[in-house]
This record gives sequence, structure tokens and C-alpha cells, in this order.
Amino acid sequence: MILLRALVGGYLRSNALRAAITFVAITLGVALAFAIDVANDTAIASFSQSVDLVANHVNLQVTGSGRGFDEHALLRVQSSPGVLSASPIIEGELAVGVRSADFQSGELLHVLGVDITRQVLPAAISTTAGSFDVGQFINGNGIIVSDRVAREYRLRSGSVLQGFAGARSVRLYVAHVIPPGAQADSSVAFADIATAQQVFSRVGRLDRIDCIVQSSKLRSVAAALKRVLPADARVIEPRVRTAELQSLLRSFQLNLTALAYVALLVATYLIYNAVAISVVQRRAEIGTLRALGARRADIFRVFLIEGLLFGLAGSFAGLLLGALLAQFSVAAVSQTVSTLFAGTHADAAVYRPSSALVAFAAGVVLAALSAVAPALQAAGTAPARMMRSSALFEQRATGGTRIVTLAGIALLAAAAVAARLPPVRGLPVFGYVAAVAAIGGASLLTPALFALFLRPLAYTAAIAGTATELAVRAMTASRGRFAVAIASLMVAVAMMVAIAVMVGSFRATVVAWANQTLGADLYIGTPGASDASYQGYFRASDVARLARVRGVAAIDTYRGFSIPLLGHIVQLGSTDFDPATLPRKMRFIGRVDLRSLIAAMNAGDNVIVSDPFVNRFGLRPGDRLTVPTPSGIRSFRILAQYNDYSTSEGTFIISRPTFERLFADDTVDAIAVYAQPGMRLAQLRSQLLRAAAPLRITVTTNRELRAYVVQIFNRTFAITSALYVISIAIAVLGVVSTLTALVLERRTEIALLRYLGLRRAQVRGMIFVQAGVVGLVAGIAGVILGMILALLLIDVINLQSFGWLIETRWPWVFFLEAIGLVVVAALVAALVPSNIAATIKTAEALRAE
Amino acid sequence: MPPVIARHVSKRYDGDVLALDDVTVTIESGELVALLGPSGCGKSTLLNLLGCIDLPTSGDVLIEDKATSRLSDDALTLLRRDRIGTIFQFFNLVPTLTLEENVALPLVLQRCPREEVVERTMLVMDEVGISHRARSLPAQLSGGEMQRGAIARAIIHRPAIVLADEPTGNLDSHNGSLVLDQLAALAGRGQAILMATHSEEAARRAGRRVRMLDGRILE
Repeated sequence: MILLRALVGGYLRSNALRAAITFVAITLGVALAFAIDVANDTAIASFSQSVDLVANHVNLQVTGSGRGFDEHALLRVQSSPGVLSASPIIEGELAVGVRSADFQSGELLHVLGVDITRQVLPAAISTTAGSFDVGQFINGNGIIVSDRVAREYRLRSGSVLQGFAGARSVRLYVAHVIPPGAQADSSVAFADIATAQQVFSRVGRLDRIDCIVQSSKLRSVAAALKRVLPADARVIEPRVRTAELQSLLRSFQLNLTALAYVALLVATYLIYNAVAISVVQRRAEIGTLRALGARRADIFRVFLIEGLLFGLAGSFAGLLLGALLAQFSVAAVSQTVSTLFAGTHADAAVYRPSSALVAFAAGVVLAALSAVAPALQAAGTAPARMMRSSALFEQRATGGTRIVTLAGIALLAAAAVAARLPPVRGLPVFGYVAAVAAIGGASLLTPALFALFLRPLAYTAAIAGTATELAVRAMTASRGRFAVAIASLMVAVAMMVAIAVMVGSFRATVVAWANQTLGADLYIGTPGASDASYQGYFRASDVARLARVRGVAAIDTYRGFSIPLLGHIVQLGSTDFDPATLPRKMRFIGRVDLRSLIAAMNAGDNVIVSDPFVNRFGLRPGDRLTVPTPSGIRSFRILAQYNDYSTSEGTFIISRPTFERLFADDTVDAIAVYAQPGMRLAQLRSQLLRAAAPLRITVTTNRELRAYVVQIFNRTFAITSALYVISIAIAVLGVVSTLTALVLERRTEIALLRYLGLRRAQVRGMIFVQAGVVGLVAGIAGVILGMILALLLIDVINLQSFGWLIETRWPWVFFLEAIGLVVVAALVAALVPSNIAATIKTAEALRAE
Repeated sequence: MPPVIARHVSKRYDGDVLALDDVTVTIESGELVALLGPSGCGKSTLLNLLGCIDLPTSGDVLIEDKATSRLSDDALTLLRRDRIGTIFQFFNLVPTLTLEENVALPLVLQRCPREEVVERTMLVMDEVGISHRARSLPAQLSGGEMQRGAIARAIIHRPAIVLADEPTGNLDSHNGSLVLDQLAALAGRGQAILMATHSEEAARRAGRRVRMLDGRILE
């Protein structure tokens, strides 16, 4: 304890600014990691609520896909031995709050049609079941909404809720308002099963049956149910579906988490530097204590504890700050998940103790690990050398440059090897290993790179003037310390560059894809904010009516929904394979003879698959795919692979006639309209809106839809930009910390120089030169490392996670801007230390010596 | 067997600077030896080797019959902690600890019971006349007080050997004289004392004088 006080306590008090900076860096890193974890947990909780909404004791579910299954299945399930209770469920989306001027406004309520007379009640309404008029709910088109929805749309019991079920206008009556906190996703609403079937045009159909069966007979009951149900109906335990939903989000969330933890990684460089600097500054005390009989282990322990203390304090504060930041991250992540995967509305952040523990432990462990090297250095140096001079100590600290450089090269080689390894259970584990190895390798090469840079700088500095020359000499003497500051800034810059390259390349690829595949003139959809779910609201008769509108040359349809396949959830799509429209809506990989492809797709059981599908399942053109359909298990031949950036779930597409034949489903989700030559689009749009009546449709032009694609893209990546901005901020704090420490340590030297005639401006100039050099070297190295990381992100991590093929584009002008930005940031960071240096009281500093 | 023996010891720094050249010296228990010589003659280097904070390039340093070159770092540390007391030229008090805590350090490092530490610390501080400044930080002390604190710290664990590097170099004549009295008293109690000094007057208080020049012993 006395050693801790001797070496840490008083020192931290007299270096409060630097201690505070290190603390803030860890706090920010942990906060970011925790906020992202909370956002991910919340997304999972609200995403899987549709699975878990019913009472906890439901232990078996019968689920369908697409338009569900015949409701007569309920009778067969109910009468099966071992089934204690069975509750039917219909799921649908209701657009509410849509403004007539903007048909894409408002929000989608996820409506669950339930039979509340049954034994199994949804948890959210079971507690208040006696407090509302059940008869009104069942017979009077009743709906139960959350407190948040009621407040937002000024509803109370008895109010009319106006909305859109697809293109159909719907009026429902609010039967009850669920009190706040009773459900994780406030966008979930409840209607009676019959009302839901009516509203969503699904009379006679069911999406799901929630069962309670004797737990000892779970397997035998499941097997018995499979025998009496249609081939495409699944009998599963609820946890299986939750796991499928989680696996859908897994890659997206893992990537986000990895980015968040980079900020924490940058913060650990700061701890390393903080402890390393304090070792140098306390070398005399360490030497004295060693001479008096303190063992190496005692000294090592003290500095490790210092790192741990930073970790503990910073991580604790990080959790508090993270809980605040989560309010923003939850909204951002929830919106992205809603756009990319399925509609959710997370109202309250879900704080799991395990997430807090992981973020806290990561902060503490990384802090402790980053203190190990300087602690070893403190413990390993002979006392006599410790007590001699800082220059000698620094010399020893930077003496191992050759080994460090070789280790850096070895790590880069390891990164190259890891980048070539396949994914592990669909996750780019080795891609992350490669990224971490590349960051580690580049960091270890920083001292050598800096030394290379210093050599020519020393020659030019002599010409540039005294301040520059002194600055360069000081950097040469303390190059090890400067190298760490450069490395942390380099990592942050690299992250910024890598994400910018990846996002820029991705955006360019998506825009090019959209330009090629959004070839229709107008797109017809349903009102309300769109999400990734498909409900099939247009019937064949609607499509035929729209196709007859004057000025329509051709019409194209799309119908799709999620189905479970090979243990995952994938998209099944169906569309028209027409020689006139196919080249304008799809881009194929490799050579494809469109004429024979169209003929084969329309003729029989053939499919085409998206890039993410190929990546996920390894199935390629020529392979066969077995799919459960209402008409039985069918085997399809994969004919071609096409580009798709709309979803990472993986999509396989069959022809419209095949779909209608096998799935007995003539509904359509989206309609594309090709105008006759010379037809004015505004006029055609008006005609389509009129022809659709009484349906309320939205008609979007090609240009508007492309803009919308870019808008969704930008929204998806908004949070990543926030992450790298915070990393840069942490790294800049590192520059402030390093420069301040060096100024304080060279206090006497600077005082002596001032005594001998160095002007204040020259002292400031000296610090600014050092900051500028740090920024420049970090900027250049950061851009190079960023390019390596970008390649890993694009060609390994993204490809293995999502299967997206991205064409890499290098934004050279941005690279120059990034270097300039880092130099400016470093110069700003130098303001405080340069001021400290310029105001050192000469007489006092010399007297102290 | 004398507690301190240096036999044909040489020390070379960074490969070419020869700081000690074939030095042989012994110090008996109860003996106060003055090590004289100009700056850079190798006095501090010899003290570092005898204090076990550095090792010779060649030759043997024997502390209580143990050759330092053959000892592990841990064994050297224990030797320093238990058998040697060092008075540094610039006192080397830890600035963040009070004078009392500085003096107590060797006993704390030996993990002595707290009561014993408190008792012996007060005793030794009384002995050197600084107990009234026990709670002061080093920065609040005069040079003489700091030097007496350094002496108290060097003797609190009753070492067999005390090494003093210019113990009077930073003191006025009165304080210097007090320090020399204390060193002489230590020798009187049977401890082996080696004092490096520039001062002929200080050297005259020693029982034996050893002169050094350019890394060698002259007499």
C-alpha cells in the first residue's frame, strides 16, 4: 500500500490533467461499447417479442410462412393428444399516422390477432384483461394499443384508430390501452383473431398456433403434429425461432460491436502511454525503492494496479455514460434493424447485467493489459540505471526497436494469412483476427516508421530554425513515447479511413446496382413508412386493373416473405420473368443466357439466388435447393446468381407462375410500371392513383426510389460515423496527454533554454512542430493502415458476414483531407501543452532542479 | 571474514567507458572507511557495486561472503533490503511520502508488523533528531533534515553495512558535523561504514582513508 502511495497516489494528484484525460478516454471507450451492446440487446428484445409475447409457459409453436396455413389446422392441433392448450395467431402490419401529403410518413403497428377467450393470453394484456370490455374488443373491431401509441396519436378507450392495412383504409376502435412498461416493443398492438383476419384479408388463414403441451411429451407431440399439418407448417419450440431471429441480426450486431470496441482499443494506447510516461517520470523513486529492497514483483504490481485503477474508475464511469448514450444508440440501431430486417419500435433500452459486465470487464482487462509492458519495464530495469538519467532510461525503452519491428512484420504476415481463412459458423472470425493483427502489426512498426521519418527531418530542421531543431531533437530522444501517441492516433485515423472507403465503395456499388436494376418508370406500394416485411396486399385483380391503365406498357410484380430454410431465415421471392423487363431489374453474376433462363424459370421448379444466399449456404448455380411449400417438399435447381443489396438474409427467387402454383398465393407486395414511350409520368401517376381506387396506393418515380435507396443507405451507416468520430476524439486526447507529459518532464530543460534566450513564441513553436509531426506521421500511417483495414472489411468481413460484393474505390482526395484533418487536430491538441511550456517560470524550475 | 570485500573489480559502461579498473578493497565490521577522490574517479560506481544495485564487469564483490555476481535479482534485492543501508548523495526521499513514511520504508518492505514499524521509526527519528518533522513532506524539509532522514532510513533495519555517498556534500558545516558524528556512532556499534566524500575534513573523521583516481585505488 505504501508503495502504491509512493509511486501512484501523489503522482496522480500532481498530474491531474493527464490522469483526467486517461480516465475520460477509458470512460468514452467503455461507454461506447456498452451503448452499442444495450442497443443490440434492445433490438433483439423488441425483435423477438413477437415470438415471446404469449405467456412464458408456451412451449411449442406451429408456424406458417407467407399467407400462413388453413385455420382448420387449429382443430387438428387442439385434438392432438398431449396438447393442453392451443391459441391461434394472425400477424399483420397496420400503417397509422400517415399524412396525405406524405404517404411514406407515419409508422407501422405490428398487429397480433389473438383469441383472448383462450387459456393462453398475451402477457402484455393478461394482467389487465378484466379491466376492459371484452365483448367490444371481439365484436366491435376493437384494437388494444400501447400507451406510447395512444399518446402519440391522441387515442383513448373508445377512440377510432384510422390506418391502412396495405392499400386498404381501415377503421378500428381502441378497446384498451396497455399501461407503460408492460411490453418491450410499443409498436405491437392486439386485435381479435377474426378482426385481424378480416382487416388483413386473411379470412380462414392462421400464421401461428401457440401451444402448451405436456413438457415430458414435447418431442412426441411435435412429431405427431407434423404428421397432421401441411408440409410448409413448422412445429418448433419458441427458443428455436428466437435463435433464428438472433442469427439474422448476429453479423450486423457483431460488426457494430467490433467497431465500438475499436474506440476502447484506442483508449488502451492512452493507458499504455500514461503508465509508460509515469514510469519514466518516477524512475528516480523506483530506483530508490529498488535500492532499498523493493522487489521487481512489488514494482510491477504497483504499476499494474495503476492501470487497473484507471480501468476500474473509467469503466465504472463508462457504464454510467453508456447508459445515457444508449438512449441515442438504441434509436439508431432500432431504426436500422427495422429498415434492414423487420419492423420494431424499441421504446426503452434493455439493460442486461451481462452486457454491463462485459463492457466493464473489457475496460478493466484492456487497461490492465496495456499497463503490463510499462510495468515490466519499470520492474525490469536495474536500480543503478533507473537512478542515472531519463535519457538512458528512454534509450533502453526504445532500444528494442528491432525486435518490435520484427514482431510488427510477423503480425502483418499473420494478418495476411488470417484474411485468407474461411468463416467460422458464418462469422468472419479470422477476418477480425486479421484486422486486430494488422492494427497490432502497424502499431509495432510505428517506432521504426517514426525513426525513418525523423532522419530526413533532422537535416531539414537544422535549416528551419532553432525551435524546429530543438523539437526534432526532443522527439528523437523520446521517440518511443511519441511512437505510442502516433500509434493511437494512427489506429483512429485508420478506422475512419477504412469505414469511409468501405461505406463510399458500398454506396457507389449500391447506386450503380440501383441504376441498373430499378429500370421501371414508376413503383407502386402501400401507404406508411416502409420496412423490410412483406404482406402481399395487392391481389391479382388489382394488378390486372392497374395493367389496363392507358399509358402502361408493361407491369412487373414482386411477392416475397421470410421462410425458415437450412436452419436460417431467408427470403423467398417471386417475380415475373419477362424478356422485356428482366434486364432492367436484375444484374446477374457471370454469363447468363437470358432467353433460356426466362424459359427455364417459367417452365418449372427452378430458382435464381442472391449473392448473400450463395455466401451463406455455399449453394451455387447447378446445385439443388429443397424447399417446404404448401404443396409439399419441392426440389429446385439453381440456375443463376444475381446481385442483391436489399437484404443480407439471402434470397431465392422463383417465377410468378411457379409461386402461384405451389403456394396458392396470388397476392403481390410491390408493382413496377413501365410507361409507354412518350407518356408523361406525372399523368400516368394520376391515372394509376385513380384506377387503384378504392385502394390507397403510393406511386414513386424511379428517381424518387433511387434517392430513397441512398437515404436508407446513409441512415444505416450513420451510427458508424458517430463511432469513428469518438475514436478520433479519444486519440486526440492521447496527443494532448503525451505532449503535456513531455513538456512537464522537460520543464527544467525548457526553463534553461528560456534562460539562455529562447523566446516564448519559439517554445510554443517547438511544441506545435512536435504536434504537427505527430499528426502528419499518424495521418500517413493511418491512411495506409486504413487501406489495409478497408480491404479486410470489404473483401473478408463484409463478404463473409453478409455476402455483399463491393467494388473497392479509393477516395484519394479524402485521404489527403484526412491527413490534413489529423494534423489540424494534433495542432489543436497542442494548444494546452504549448501554453504550459511557454508559461514555465524559469527561475522556479531551475531552482527546483 | 570482513562483511565487504571487492576483489580485482572492474566496471565498464556501454562497452568502452572504464569506470573501475581492478579495484580491491575490504571493509571490516565496526570500521568507518572514507573513500576519497575527485568527481568521476569511480567512487559512486564502487558504491553501486557494493550496494548491490549494479554488478561488476569482472572481479568479485563479496557481501557477507556472498558473491553478488552469482546471486539472482531477488537474492540481491533481499541482500539490499536486509543487510545494507544506503545514504544517497541527493537524499532520494520519495516526495509523495512523509518523512516518517520514508524512514519506515525498509521495515515496510521487510513486512514487519505495523506496531514494530511505528515504534522503531520513532526511535530512530529521535536518535537523529528529526521526530518533530515526522509528518512533513520532503519538500518542506531543510537539507540537513532531509539528510538525517536519509540516515535514519539507512539504519532503521540495523544493516551490517552502511554505504554513504557524499553524506555531507549538500550540508552546511554544522549539519555536516552532526551527520559525521552519527556515522561514527554507527561504526562504534559494529557496522561497516563506507563513506564516499570529496571532503578532507570528513575523511579525517574516518578510521581509514582510501583514495581513488581514474577508476583505481591509490592507497
